[in-house]
Amino acid sequence: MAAKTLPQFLVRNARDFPHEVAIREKEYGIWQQWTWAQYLQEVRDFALGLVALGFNAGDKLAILSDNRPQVYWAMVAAQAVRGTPVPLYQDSISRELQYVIDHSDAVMVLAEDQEQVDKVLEIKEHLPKVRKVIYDDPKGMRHYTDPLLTSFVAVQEAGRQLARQRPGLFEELVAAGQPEDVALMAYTSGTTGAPKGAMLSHANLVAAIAGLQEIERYQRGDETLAYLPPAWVGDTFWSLAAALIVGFTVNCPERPETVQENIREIAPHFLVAPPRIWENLVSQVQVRMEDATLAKRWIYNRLLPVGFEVARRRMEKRPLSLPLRLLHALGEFFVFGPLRDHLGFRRIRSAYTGGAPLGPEVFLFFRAIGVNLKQVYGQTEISGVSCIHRDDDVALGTVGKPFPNVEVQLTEEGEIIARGPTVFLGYYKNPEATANTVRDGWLYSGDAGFFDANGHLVVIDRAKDVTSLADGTKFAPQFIENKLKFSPYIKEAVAVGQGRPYVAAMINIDMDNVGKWAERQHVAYTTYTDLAQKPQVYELIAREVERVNRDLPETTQIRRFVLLHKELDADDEEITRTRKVRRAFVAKKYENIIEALYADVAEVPVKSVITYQDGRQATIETKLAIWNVETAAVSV
Amino acid sequence: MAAEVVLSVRDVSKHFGGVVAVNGVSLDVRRGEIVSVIGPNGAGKTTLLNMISGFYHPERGSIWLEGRDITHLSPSRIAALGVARTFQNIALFRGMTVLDNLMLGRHIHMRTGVLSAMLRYGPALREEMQQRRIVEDIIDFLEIEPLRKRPVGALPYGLQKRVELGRALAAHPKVLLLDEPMGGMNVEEKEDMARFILDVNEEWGTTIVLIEHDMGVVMDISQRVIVLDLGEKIAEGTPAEVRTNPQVIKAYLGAKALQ
Amino acid sequence: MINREAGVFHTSYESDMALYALPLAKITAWGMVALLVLLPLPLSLLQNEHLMSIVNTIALAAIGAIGLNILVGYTGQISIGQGAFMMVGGYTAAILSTRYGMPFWVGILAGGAMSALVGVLFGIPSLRIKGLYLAIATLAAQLIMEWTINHVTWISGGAQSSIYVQNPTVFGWELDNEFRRYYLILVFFLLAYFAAQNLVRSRVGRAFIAIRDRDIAAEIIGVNIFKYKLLAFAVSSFYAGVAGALWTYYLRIANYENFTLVVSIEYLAMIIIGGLGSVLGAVLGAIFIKLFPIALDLTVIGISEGIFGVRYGAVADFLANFQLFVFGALIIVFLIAEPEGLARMWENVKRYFRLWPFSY
Repeated sequence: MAAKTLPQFLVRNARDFPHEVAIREKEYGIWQQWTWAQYLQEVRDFALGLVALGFNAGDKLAILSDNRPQVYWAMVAAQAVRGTPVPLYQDSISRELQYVIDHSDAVMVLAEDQEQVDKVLEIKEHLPKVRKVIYDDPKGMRHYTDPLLTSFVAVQEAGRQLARQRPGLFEELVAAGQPEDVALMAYTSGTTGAPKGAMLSHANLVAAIAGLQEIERYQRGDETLAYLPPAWVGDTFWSLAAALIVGFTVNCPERPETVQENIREIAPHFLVAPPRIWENLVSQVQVRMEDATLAKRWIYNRLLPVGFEVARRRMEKRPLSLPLRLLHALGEFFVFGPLRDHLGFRRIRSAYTGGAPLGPEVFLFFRAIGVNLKQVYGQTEISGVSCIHRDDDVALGTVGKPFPNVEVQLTEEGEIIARGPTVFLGYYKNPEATANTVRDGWLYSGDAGFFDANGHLVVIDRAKDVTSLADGTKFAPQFIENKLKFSPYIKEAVAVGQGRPYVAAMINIDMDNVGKWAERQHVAYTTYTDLAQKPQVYELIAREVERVNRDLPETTQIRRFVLLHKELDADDEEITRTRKVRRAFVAKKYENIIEALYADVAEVPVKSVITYQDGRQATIETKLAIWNVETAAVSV
Repeated sequence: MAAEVVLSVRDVSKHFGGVVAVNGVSLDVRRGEIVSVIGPNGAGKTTLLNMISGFYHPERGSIWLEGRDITHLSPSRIAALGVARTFQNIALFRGMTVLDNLMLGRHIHMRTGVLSAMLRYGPALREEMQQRRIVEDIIDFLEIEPLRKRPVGALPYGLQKRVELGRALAAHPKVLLLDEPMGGMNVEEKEDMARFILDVNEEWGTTIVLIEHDMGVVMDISQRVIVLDLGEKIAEGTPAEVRTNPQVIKAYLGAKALQ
Repeated sequence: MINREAGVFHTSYESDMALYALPLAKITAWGMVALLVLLPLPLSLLQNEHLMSIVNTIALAAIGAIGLNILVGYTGQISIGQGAFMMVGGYTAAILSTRYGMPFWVGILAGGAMSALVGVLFGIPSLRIKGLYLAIATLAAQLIMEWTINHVTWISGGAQSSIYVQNPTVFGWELDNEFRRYYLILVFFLLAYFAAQNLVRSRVGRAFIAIRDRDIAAEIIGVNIFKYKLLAFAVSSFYAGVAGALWTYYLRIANYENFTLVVSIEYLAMIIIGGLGSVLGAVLGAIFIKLFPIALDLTVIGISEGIFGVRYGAVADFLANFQLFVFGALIIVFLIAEPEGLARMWENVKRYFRLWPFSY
């Protein structure tokens, strides 16, 4: 019987190549590994344990954990008994958890450790449907007596007992699985409104991976790192679905702080990362190069442009001259190869950026050093990914072409819509939203875009975010923000200007990089707020804004900007957990600052309530400077 | 909850020149307890600790560990019997990595001698691997995974304190002596350290004696507090009892007034 | 640039704790061993026994230097008696093979053992004294040993305190030329090198370093300082004894003049220049100290004959003095430039390329 559900693929892997490594986790200083046979054993024990605890087909298992093998085992285990895993963002605060856990009707919660257990227990009165909270890491749990609690290993032990009583039960359950079963419920944070639970079937995920495999051709023996939040659909897409279907090896990092080091150890064959990680890597390289010895810097500065030139020419399919080839070979030896080795991309065949557009400079940087970075595009509702660059057809600013099994079109208003076997089943308990999103089999993405001359899809912005200035000039705030965010000194930016005479920006400086810069410039500072208000820092950022302006049409260039006194924070609901700006919320919260950006004032007083990690609150009062920027002649 | 006495100090005294450092102090520490010895600077706390760990030998009185007289044993003997400690001003091996420092903490539980060490393959490597696994538990516990292979000397002060605690813990001691574990730390680091001390006690049931001159955090984490002043014990009891003891208040206010 | 670290990950503690954990390091190490094994090939084709003898001298010195570094560099106990301990080994081997007809390997091991015994004896003062005082105590040991061997004829064999020994024979193969003797020395050198590398990253080695870095902290974690200091003396003298015995077989004579105070100081110079607390450093130091005077000779001869047309004999006296002068000056320059020695320089070079194109 051909495998049709993810648990069936697992059974196939354990049968066909039982001794190959399925998953690793760095723990206790070395990479602990599990073969497919062992993976299956862990899943079987946990699945039957769930059954023993009364988890039935159709039940939901909420998961609140960093990337650990146990997360993936639990997901497949829930699927094996025809239930549904509901992964949650591990940095969610109790209030957010309460809504999602309750709305999803989860009957059990898998929580990684004491910290996560505490968050769940804090709101247990509001979670009447939750019957068990399963913890994975027993550290610090010794004195917890709440009857809701049980441990991962205890559940597995119960599973082993059940297996002894009813041998063959697991196999029966797995065999009964149907492609239409809900394999994943992923709550999309959305920049407006309450989160919605998107339901994906096994058939959706299997079709998505089939589409991907026609383009990417992963193999058994490939390595990748699972380090992005399990709640993000991409993690299920790569670390669970693709891994099970293709049979490659997934590696879980030791701790969130060691991800980069762990990437270097594993040297993955492919890796996905959101723009902010790619941006971070580039700033890191830049900063470390600035501190390198003169000789090293000289070589780097000479050869990096060669990489850029070659990358550009290859993208545009223009020929490379012999001298350029020779220089590029030198660059490969002296700069690109070593850089790839430091970043852990020595074996990388494909790297992906997704979730938001990536600045062209960052994109080109990676291609210049020989990393095959490609844009992917998609939504949770279409199983994660629907468009991707092909290896021989990468272009700046586009998201490539649709998967072979997905059809993408534009509505008359320019909204991107898609159709195919990967379109989701609908939102959980929300037929209205479902009907709004899927019409006649077409998934309405909410993104505005167009097809370029080569048939590549270009995404401009959220359709509803594209807006116009007072004189009717259209502009896409995100487009401008992404350009700003390429600067290593700018972490977050919000471009405003709807119905106003010009575009203005609220900017978050990047504390790490600006801090280092300030140290080099001997600018003393105390806090984030203090640093952000230094005139020298304003000058620094003004130069960055001017640079961005040179790439923008004159009408939509940034005329004024302010450096915010605090970072936009998901805990303050200013951005989503996936770091998308909640525009409406921010516009309202920073109303007076935005007013000041369009008034004839040089500073604006702010008062803001800050919530510390431990829940204490404090009010800070300060004045934020507002600067004008010169507009620039257009260079493109 | 009268657990057995693990460590017993009986009427010990120590002079330096003509100065009385510790004078007739007695105390009992029961298994699984966190006991704090507090007192103003110069109260004799560190001298007391140094006598327990064998650096000084008392002129009078005796010290017993699990019913065995350790009064006159050498520090390394006492360590081998299960007493580990940290120092006020951190005594790590700065050039070594965090890992090697912790492995040294396992010294008393290891057997490898010169010849098998030189051969490496065989018993020495086996032991090294077993002990590494035990040390990794401590690394995991103290959340210092990213520092494993960093030289200790390059770490910030607060982390060095944590590593030193780790080295003491690696010995799986019966009694853990902590000399001002929170000295020189900021509030956040103090809270972290307090949490680790509590966790150690809870997770492994380790008996802990800690000395501090600052009454702050220790009051929250100790089950019993002993107060020294000018080399003598002036109070003993629960944190609440000690806090309201007039003699303690006087000792502290007196000391403050002098500063 | 050719270093590759991405993709190197460990699934066992054994590989994580390996001496050469990175592929490039592994390749280099094996390459070096292969080079050493094949070295006599080109030299014997050239029939250059002189060059081979220089290599032999260096390898012998390296064994003694590694031993001394274990004591001085790793355990922090200064000793200027390495020559004396070599002497014990040398005479022990000579006596055993000439008077008792023992095979050479018994002589070598017994030489090491006897030297270790004497080392422990002279190590006892280290329990009470440190630093310069200990140095003086070991100096005394050196002088006592020299005097004893010179004056106790049972040991020294009387005339000029020299005992002549036969060439060692391995499976009926007489080690009668430099190339053959090289292999005997090489085996002991490789054993000495890797045994030391293993030792210093073991429980024992960590205890040594702990004593060196902070003896109070070492005690508090249960390291018996008394025992480990003596152990360091024993290991160090064992190495010296083995080196001394090999030296005796190599020269076919045991003579105290090969093991004088000057020799002890030379060994100290090797580890200081090579790098205290580094096994590789001891080897580099041995190479430097043994090779440099020869290189200097050749340079001076080259200059005097080639440029000034003066024959070597005419400058021999001047040369001897000039050599010492330059040698001394160079050591000073070296120590100022890199107090941590050649090993640290090598580390820095590796770091430079390992971090390429970054600098940290």
